[in-house]
Amino acid sequence: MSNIKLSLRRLSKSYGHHIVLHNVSLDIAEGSVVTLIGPSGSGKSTLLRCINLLEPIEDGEIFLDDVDISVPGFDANPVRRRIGMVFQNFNLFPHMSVMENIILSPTRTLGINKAVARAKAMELLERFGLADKANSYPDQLSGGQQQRVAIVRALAIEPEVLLLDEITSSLDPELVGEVLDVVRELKASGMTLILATHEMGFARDTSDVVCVLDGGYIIEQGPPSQVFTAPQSERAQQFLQSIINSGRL
Amino acid sequence: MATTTSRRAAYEQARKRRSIAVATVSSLIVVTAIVLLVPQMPRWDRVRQSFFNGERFRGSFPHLLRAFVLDVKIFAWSAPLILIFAMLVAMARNSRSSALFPLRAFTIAYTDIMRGVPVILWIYLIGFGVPGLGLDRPWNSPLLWGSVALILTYASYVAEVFRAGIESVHESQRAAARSLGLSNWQTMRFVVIPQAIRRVVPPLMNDLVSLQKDVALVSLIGPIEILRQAGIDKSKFANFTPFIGAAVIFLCITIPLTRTTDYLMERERRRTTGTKVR
Repeated sequence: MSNIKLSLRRLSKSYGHHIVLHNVSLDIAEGSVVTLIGPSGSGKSTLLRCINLLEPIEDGEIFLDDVDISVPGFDANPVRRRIGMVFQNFNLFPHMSVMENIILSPTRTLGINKAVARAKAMELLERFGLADKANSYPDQLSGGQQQRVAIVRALAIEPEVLLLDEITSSLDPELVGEVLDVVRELKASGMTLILATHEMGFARDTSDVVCVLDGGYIIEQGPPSQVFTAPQSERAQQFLQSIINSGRL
Repeated sequence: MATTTSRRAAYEQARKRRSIAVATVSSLIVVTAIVLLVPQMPRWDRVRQSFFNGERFRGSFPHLLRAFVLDVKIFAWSAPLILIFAMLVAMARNSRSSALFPLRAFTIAYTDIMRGVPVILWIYLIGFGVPGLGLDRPWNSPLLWGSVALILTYASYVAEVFRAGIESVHESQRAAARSLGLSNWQTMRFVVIPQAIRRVVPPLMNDLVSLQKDVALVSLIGPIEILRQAGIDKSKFANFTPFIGAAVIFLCITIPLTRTTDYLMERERRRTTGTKVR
């Protein structure tokens, strides 16, 4: 049994009277890939935003290496440097070049020397085939390139966990592959990944654990072999059936 | 192929020739009408004498230019203070901490009150009122308090421009910055404000050009700047030409200022974005 890196305990979140997450509990082992699937509005993105402390939770706890990071008033900035996040719409800073996007946080929050940060950023860009784009601006890149830059930006602060929020959902179909390749490489390098996705084939082939969310509940949780072939709950069976019927699996 | 130009190029050329022809003819008609009709007006000769007198123009121009130095000075020390103060007000108004509620309430009252009263009235009220408290020199200078009035009023306009810019930066940009571990202040400083300022440069320039002209209002409480100098020269010879001279001097500053901004904006746009839509 490997180390538990991140542990969610009975986490609840609501907007006003609308409850978006109900008593969500989940253990994420170090170096594992956990995939959140489920229909739109089921709470996948909210769960990731809660883990990154971008959204305060009403109830429950989030433990990172056995430290409760969800205590109200807990300093979120150091935590976020340990938990990176990549967004559906890339969210690159349009007024900065690719290089400036990547070294902003390392130089400003970690106090790394600019030359050192640039050299490290260049290494990452080379690793993901983006070296020639270092001085480009986000609007000059394709969606796939922008998303890969966003991943490099998140990696530049050397996070221990990376949250990927539907990172291929706004990409053209032929650009999805290049981004998923990056995720596979991250898995191979031993990074702990939590991803929300609609790429069912990818979820089945790459995840260690798959969670099916619906209406703010985790209705099914287990290894992909089990979740995709023999789901326990009726709702999860329906969801998977609809995916199979639409030809996405 | 017999033709050397493509179908599209030929079409665009024809369109361009036609547009140029329409523009030339219509401009000619308007200009000719003005040149021919205005001198037909019954009192044109007297207007020409009192507004477009070449001798008076040459006579007062050096005075005006010398007086204009004061306008430039007032502008030069007011503009940076306006930008700084306006940014502080805009940031205070955009603050999200509930502890800062009194500050937010104060900035709302400030912008409402300053923007709700004409600039000229503030210049009178502050320019005459504050020195009236019995301050000693140099603290009773109308130049000082006139500038303060300009700074306070313009800062309220510019603060609203900055606020609009800050609010126009999408929430997802803040989310991305915070997810990278940047603090609230660092997010403002490196991500939100740089984008906000780029977006509001055109309205900001609009306000600065306005300020450049409204500097002349300070003359109403005493200092001899270009407008007052023009008034003095006008009275001396009972001739309005100095006002035309003053207008020319203002244009010599404001037009290059706006053109330069347009150029800078275009360069920035080309640098950071893709192909322009036609």
